Amino acid sequence: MSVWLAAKWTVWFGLLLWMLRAGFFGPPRLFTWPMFSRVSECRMRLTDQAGRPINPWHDIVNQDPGMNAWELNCYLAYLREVRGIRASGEVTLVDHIGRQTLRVEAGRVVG
Amino acid sequence: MWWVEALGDGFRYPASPLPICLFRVVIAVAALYKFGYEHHRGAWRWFAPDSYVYYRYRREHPRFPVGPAGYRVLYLAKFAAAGALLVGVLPRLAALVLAGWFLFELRYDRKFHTAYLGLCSLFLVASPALGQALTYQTVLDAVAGDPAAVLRAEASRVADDAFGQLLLVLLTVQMYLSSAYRKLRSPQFMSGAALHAFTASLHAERHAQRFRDTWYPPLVARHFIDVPEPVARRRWRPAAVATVVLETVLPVALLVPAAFPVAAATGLLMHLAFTALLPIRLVPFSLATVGSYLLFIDPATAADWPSFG
Repeated sequence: MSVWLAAKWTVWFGLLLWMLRAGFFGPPRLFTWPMFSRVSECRMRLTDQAGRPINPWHDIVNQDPGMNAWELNCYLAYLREVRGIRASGEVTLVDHIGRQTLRVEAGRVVG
Repeated sequence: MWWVEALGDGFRYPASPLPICLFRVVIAVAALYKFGYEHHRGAWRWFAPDSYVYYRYRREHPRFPVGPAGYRVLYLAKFAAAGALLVGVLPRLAALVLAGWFLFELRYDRKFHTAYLGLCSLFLVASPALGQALTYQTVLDAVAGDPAAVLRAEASRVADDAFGQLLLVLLTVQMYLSSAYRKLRSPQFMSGAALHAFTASLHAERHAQRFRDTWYPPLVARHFIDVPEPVARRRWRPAAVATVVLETVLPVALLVPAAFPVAAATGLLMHLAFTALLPIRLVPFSLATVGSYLLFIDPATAADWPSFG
């Protein structure tokens, strides 16, 4: 068997193992395809200091409707640090754990 | 079955390069479509210093620094690579650059269709036959002479390294089976709740979105979205179950020549239904997956394709 063919078989079996592991076991990663399989939703009703509504879709132009807690905090931090906006209002997060309504004051989640 | 023979002969299978070259064109078109609508949505500015996409990327990947200037270099490179792949200029290099872009894109916008396009591009690199048919030279020759004769001549060429094509077949099979398994294990999907939540959320936000992703007809909205949750779940459940069944059976049927025509037609209908959920965003994914069905056909038969009709 040539070195080239041995390399191909190595790649083939390596990928096969990787695909099996990622596709069927453990957390989602490359070669995992759980499209639409989880409820993930985030609805924001936020305003800035002057009471003007904030439309997150103007910033999150190409994202899914879902957002986890880390992403929500990241977005609020962006509004604070880059745009100088201290958002207030209410955010509803829905994920596999359930639905939770969070209160946001001065650009941070407070409860 | 050709793929069994090819595996048995160490990935060698003397056959027409037409299927893999057609798939090359499909991937290039899918990439150009994706880049085009994203450009329309302001992708050129997504790594501007004041953009949220860039802010989030820096927070998530502090040790993988691509700044606004680097992003724009990669941005131009991806268009050049997709164009080169389409016309068959240095196609393997173009596929490699495209794969690099998609893998980079996953760092700031994780989408399954991006991962699939990236892996398809990467596996195309493994095919030495990428430039043997359907290139700019095909167009020049067709303009200068008889297009049918040019296509017949290209289809009758012989490429004997099927490694890249087999990798792509493996990828599509794994993608469907993994997707079916993950969905089957998800009570939220099987109950219909995930499909309802996804469509209801995008439908509710449709006027707030600067660039809409959904256009559900009033009849669909009335029956599947704007209804109490238990009713919606019950109505979405058959679609969820059908998806899992189809995604399990489809890849197996695609591998069996006798079942291929029915499987391909069913897959096409299934992807049309998926695309209706996200009519803009899922077009490239559907193009690529349905395009990959070409690779399941015995490439030895492809020499006759230009004679059809």
